[in-house]
Amino acid sequence: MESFNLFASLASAIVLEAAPFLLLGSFVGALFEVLVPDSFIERMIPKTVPGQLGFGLFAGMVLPTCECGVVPVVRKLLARGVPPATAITYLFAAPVINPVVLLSTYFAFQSDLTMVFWRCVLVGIPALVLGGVLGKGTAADILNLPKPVLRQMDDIRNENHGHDHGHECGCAACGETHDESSRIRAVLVHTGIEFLSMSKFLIFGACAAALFKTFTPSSVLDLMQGNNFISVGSMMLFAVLSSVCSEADAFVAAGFSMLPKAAMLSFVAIGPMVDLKLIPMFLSTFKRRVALALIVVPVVTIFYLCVLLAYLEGGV
Amino acid sequence: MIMDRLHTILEGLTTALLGAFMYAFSISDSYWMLLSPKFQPLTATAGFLLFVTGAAMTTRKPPRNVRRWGALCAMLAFLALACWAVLGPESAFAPDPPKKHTPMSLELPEPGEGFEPRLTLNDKEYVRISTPELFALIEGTNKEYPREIAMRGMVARSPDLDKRGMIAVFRVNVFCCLADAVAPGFLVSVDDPDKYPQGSWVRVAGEVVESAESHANGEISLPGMLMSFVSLNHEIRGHDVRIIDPPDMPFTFEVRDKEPFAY
Repeated sequence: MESFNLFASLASAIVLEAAPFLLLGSFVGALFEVLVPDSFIERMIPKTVPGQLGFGLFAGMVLPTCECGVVPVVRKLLARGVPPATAITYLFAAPVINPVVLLSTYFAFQSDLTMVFWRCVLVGIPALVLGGVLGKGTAADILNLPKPVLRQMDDIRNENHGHDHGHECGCAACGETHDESSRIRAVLVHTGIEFLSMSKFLIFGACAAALFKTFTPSSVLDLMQGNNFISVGSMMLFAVLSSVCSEADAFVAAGFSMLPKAAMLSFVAIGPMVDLKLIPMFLSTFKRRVALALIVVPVVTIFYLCVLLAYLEGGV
Repeated sequence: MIMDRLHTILEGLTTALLGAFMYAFSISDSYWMLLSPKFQPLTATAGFLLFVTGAAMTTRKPPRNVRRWGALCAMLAFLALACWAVLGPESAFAPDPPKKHTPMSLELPEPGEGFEPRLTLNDKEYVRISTPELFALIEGTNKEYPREIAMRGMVARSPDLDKRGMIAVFRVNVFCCLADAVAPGFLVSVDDPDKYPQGSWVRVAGEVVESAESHANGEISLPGMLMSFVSLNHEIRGHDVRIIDPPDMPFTFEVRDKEPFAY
């Protein structure tokens, strides 16, 4: 019973701490869905590849999207002619390099700006690499179906979807037909649906973290603390399995403060890029070799970068 | 159609219920058991907004055959778990929680406000300091630390420590939430360890000394705390170690590096 009390307290603490940030992220995402038309984004995209990469990297600052909703948004952007260099970079950067996630990371790691900085770097590198490599192709080379078919499918989907936001809704969580006359109400409803949908991943991740902290023998912890390969690798595996939302994952990671900072960084870097809810989305949205690249490149890059960080004296 | 409508209402009500719980929790005197008080306004605001959002969700037109049973079940299960954590058992890391809690506040006492930063015993002054603060000064910042100190904490014992005439004294420090709590501690030499039962609270007035030999990492820990550790190279030579009632706030939430310490 004592162990269950501890487990319940730890899991509740993590969820209650992260919930305001998840709500804020859902709210910002809802504002984007309801008020910002896709055409506005398309007009802003630069013509050069480096410019497109940079735009994709920092688009999340003004158009924050949770990783749970970013794949359908990217798919739609690609189908509408947004360059892959921008769309693929945005796919990985937007869930992390945005004000909400940066703020939650800052708070979770006790105002440690170096953790915020390294999180951006660790996400930015594979995002730029993949954006640069895949950006040479066209949307038809990347997406699972030819562009005309996709457009046709989008048209059919939108007819069924029935959004009346003045533009299409790209969020993954939304399966609703909205007929709210009030945009404020539409934002509220969208926020609630997004929050509800995402909270299950947060709760699952928090419970997994609490189970770990409650039942892990200290000998396992000593092993993880003493070996950078194991600590980084196991935290990355935990991030993929727990699928915690990027707006809340820093709080879960901060609970592992007994591990090297590089291991905590590997958790918050890989989680928004590859997890159990993203992998099926990648495989269904992109061509198989592209989907595999989207999974393998971030995993390998972040693993070695974090191991390197752990070994560098004063690296983090 | 009716099922769709019911599901929509259920989703809204569950979301609103979570919001109401968060708001009530934020103004309760149990908040500190799970979260640092610095998050209290954030939790209250989020709880209120979540309640409003949930209320708005109940009034929307129900979509056809879009049901999030997984999300609903997860949230309801979490609510049950959170109620258990807050209302059911005693705080996991505070085996002897106080009967009355002080109102939560980040305002720590300053000198002249009923709090004296130093304790005087037998004409000797001891600097009041919390265990995490002393630990941080010695092990973390390498700043000058007071040699004569008074601190409070929970007792942990082991047969080996008993033989050496020592007890371990820990204090849990919560940075953000219980999940990132750590319990730094010091070994304290005492006349008779049997006077200090496991889990009891003590006030230690004594002298910080360098240990004759380094203590083994993991030698002693606070039961139930994954992250508890004692200073490896420093210990306290106890001058006056006495059992006390648990403080109103068993955890610490702030680590200061100069007087007045949070104590």
